[in-house]
Amino acid sequence: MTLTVKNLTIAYGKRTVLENISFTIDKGTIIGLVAPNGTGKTTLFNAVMRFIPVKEGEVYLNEKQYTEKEADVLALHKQITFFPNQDDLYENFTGTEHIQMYAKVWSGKELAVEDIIDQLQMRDYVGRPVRTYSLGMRQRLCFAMMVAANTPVMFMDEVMNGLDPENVSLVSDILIELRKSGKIIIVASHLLDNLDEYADKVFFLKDKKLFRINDHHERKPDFYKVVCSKEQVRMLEQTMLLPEETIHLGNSVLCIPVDALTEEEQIVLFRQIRSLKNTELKVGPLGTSEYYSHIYGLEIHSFDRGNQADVETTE
Amino acid sequence: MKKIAYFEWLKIVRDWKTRVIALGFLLFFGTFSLLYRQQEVVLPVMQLRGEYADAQQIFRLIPDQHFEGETGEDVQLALGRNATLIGLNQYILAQQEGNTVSGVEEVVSDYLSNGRQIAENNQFLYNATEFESLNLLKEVYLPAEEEIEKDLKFYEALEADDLNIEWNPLASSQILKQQVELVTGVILFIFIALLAGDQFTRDQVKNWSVTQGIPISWKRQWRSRSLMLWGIIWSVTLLGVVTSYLGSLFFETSGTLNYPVPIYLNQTTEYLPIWQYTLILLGSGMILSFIVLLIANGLSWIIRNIYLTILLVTGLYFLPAIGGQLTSVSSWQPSFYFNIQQVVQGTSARIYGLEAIEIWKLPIVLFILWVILELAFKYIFNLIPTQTLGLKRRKSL
Repeated sequence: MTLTVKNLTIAYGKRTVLENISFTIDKGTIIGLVAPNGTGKTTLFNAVMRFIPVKEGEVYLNEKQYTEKEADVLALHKQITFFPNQDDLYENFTGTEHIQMYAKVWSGKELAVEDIIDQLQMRDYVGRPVRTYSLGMRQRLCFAMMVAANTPVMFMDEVMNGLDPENVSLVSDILIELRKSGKIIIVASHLLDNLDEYADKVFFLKDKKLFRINDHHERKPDFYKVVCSKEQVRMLEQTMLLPEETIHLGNSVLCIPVDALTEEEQIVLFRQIRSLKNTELKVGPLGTSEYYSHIYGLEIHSFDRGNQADVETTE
Repeated sequence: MKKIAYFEWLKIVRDWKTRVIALGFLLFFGTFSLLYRQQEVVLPVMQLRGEYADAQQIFRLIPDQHFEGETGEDVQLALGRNATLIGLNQYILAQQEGNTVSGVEEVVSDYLSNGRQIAENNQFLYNATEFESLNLLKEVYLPAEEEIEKDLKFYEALEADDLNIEWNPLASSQILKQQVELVTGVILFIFIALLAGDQFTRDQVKNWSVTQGIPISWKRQWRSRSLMLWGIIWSVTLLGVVTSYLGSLFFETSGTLNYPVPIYLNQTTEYLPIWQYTLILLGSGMILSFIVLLIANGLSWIIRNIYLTILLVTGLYFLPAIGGQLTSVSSWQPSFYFNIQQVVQGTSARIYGLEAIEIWKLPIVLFILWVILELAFKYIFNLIPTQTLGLKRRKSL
């Protein structure tokens, strides 16, 4: 199974939201889709699903084109499910009924429903009407519905919303299981570090386009990632010449490529960093969150550790 | 389709609105006979009393000299005989025994032959063209010729089945006829509008992401929901009608389900037993209701405003009246058949000047309308019901 989108353009009147989006995803792949709110993540899902008008573009599954004709749209919907919004659940249905509905409608059988309930640890509440559920319970139910539908392609929009760390981990594990069974999953999420745990690739949307694709299977260079304030960055720059490839992420992280420094320079850098107060140093490749900050120019305005002596050295 | 039918059914029956409406209509239909008994009805005997007074009055209105001569005498004789016969029938009805009164059969004769004689006398009076006050007779005394024909057929029908004249308009069989007319009239449209007015609207407004993307076409969902609501409507209606009928048996005389009622067929009035009349009305109502449900559900998918949908669906019942303001061209015009009662009673044929508006055309006309609806909604359901309201083409220009 492959999902291919070619030259997809979405416009509302004269306002273009997405332009010339193209990609191909092979089976057994999880794609992380990231972008700030209102950039077009949900629009992309909606367009592929044909929930909104498409100006231009083609959608292929296994190299078979699915047009806007009713028969094609229905055939497409048999193979792709879209993550339901937790506010849209039927308040007077139980969780089990929701899961059964998706299982029955898509896969035609409800055999796996009980297993899914256990797997997502929903047993103690799934028999109650949805109106009694908390945010996290609803979110797990929506995810369970998708798993029950068991379609080859799954669009998980904001799948981790409202989940606590334990459930984020639980859902991540199941996503990995689903990938093993050959599913194509696109996960739109703002839990960027979490995406790095399971996504094969991360798509960044920017300026209406598919701006960058990070392939987690490719080798990536290591960076010294220094979490510090702007003042501290200025101090470091005054004391040593940083490589050209150094990246300033917003106002909080300085990313210095390890390969661009000699061993001596690395030792000097390490000493300088040690001389600063309230800093953190990590070494490793840039993750999705770092690229996110870099691509979208994220400024963490609230970054202030409240220590006036941040700029002072220990000397 | 079976895959989702169960869940569609759950959605409908778990909805409090459905339950409340179904229960409300069940109570209304089930207690109809009790409610109907509260009405003031004119007993047939009272009606005859009025006719008797008219028969006396006519002698005072016509100048005595008009009764002179052979024709005048014959007219006077017929009028006098009518007065006597009306008086006798009034007496028979008042005794509540049937078509005659035991012990005095020789004196009062029987209701049917008296009635037939009155009708024949009236026919004679219509043809008394030489009678100088014929116009006056026609204006103030004689019923319309069609009415006389109807009376004769009515007596024939009673005689053919050896039935008694019904003295009690509140007999169970008579209430049943009234109720069936009620449940196949505007009430049916209101019932449908209230139940179906927001079927798809709720899905699209409250459950959008759960209901979009289901690999079952809207058309199938549309038909299946209409069928389910149809089942609910007719279960409630039939249960209510039967309950009301059985209840009325405890309080009133039963009457007979073979009692003849007029129906407009073959461009004239025929008489059918109440049970047949009831079946025709209910059968027509069932066909009509499915079509109206398709329209209501379809509108709820398009409009997403329950109040507007209710208004439009209820308004369908009044389409014949609105259409009547325009030139009526053909008896195949579907809107005529939205008012079943007017069609079976021949009222539509009369007021729209189209004699061919007959109830047998209803299934054919509504089948054609169904095909048209299927074609129209094939196009409509290919549009996208966007979250933000309004339908959009899948390809933007």
